[in-house]
Amino acid sequence: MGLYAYCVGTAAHPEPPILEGVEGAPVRFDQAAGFGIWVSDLRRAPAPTLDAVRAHNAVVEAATETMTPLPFRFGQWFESRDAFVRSIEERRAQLGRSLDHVADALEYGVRILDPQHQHGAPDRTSGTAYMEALATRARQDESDRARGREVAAALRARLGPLVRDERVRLVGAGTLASIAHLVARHDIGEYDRRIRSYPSERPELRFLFTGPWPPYGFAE
Amino acid sequence: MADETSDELLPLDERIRLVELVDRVLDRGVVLRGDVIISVAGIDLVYLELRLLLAAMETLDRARGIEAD
Repeated sequence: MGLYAYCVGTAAHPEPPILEGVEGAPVRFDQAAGFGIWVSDLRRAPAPTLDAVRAHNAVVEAATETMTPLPFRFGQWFESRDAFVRSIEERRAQLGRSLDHVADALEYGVRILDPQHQHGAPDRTSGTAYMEALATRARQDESDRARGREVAAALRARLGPLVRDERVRLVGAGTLASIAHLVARHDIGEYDRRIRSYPSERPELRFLFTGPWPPYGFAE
Repeated sequence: MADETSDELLPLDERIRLVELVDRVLDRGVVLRGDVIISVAGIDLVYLELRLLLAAMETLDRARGIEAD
């Protein structure tokens, strides 16, 4: 029987309640290298579907209710428990450091959009028009990245020590930046108050807030 | 954490959450073994499924808009 892993926590991590995971498989608690891990027994690697992705996340969210684990990326299936345990043991030190980093914290997402962004395919009516359209797009992409960095820095300054860590991705195509903030559970109220007051200072942009999430962006 | 609801009734913020969820679950998180990561084709299938779902909801929204007019 193979084994599918959802997330890893400390040895003190709570065991799962009665819960169905990917492909309806029961979720159970396992231990390896001093960690507590939520897993399901699966005969084969799960098919990547939207339902499976949702099921994976639902299990990780359940595991995050009271303590913060490190989420595994979708698709971490092993042919045997022995192979899985070996893999955990090989990464014991890194997993321990990462668990310490996310301890008692949650991830929040901020997507910064430019509603004025010009979408669409480049003009192909002539070679010159096409090349000019590509050059215009390249300039716009560079401008978007610069604005994304600027807004991300301004947000970070606003939030100060409320953000334990952050990941900034400069996406392009109208999304100036996609930011993940790692926030301690006891700071969530103040974080939420401060970040939601920021969009009124930048009416030319649109801000999309999501969270709390398990710390996928900080599980490295 | 947010509750899941019927796809067709998802409000805008829940759609955004769905896109963010797929990005996180497929593209981030601890990778134990590179050789067990699902194939690029598999990931593309999930994103295709997501795009189809979002397109279907946008069509539903437009229909509702026409009815409201």
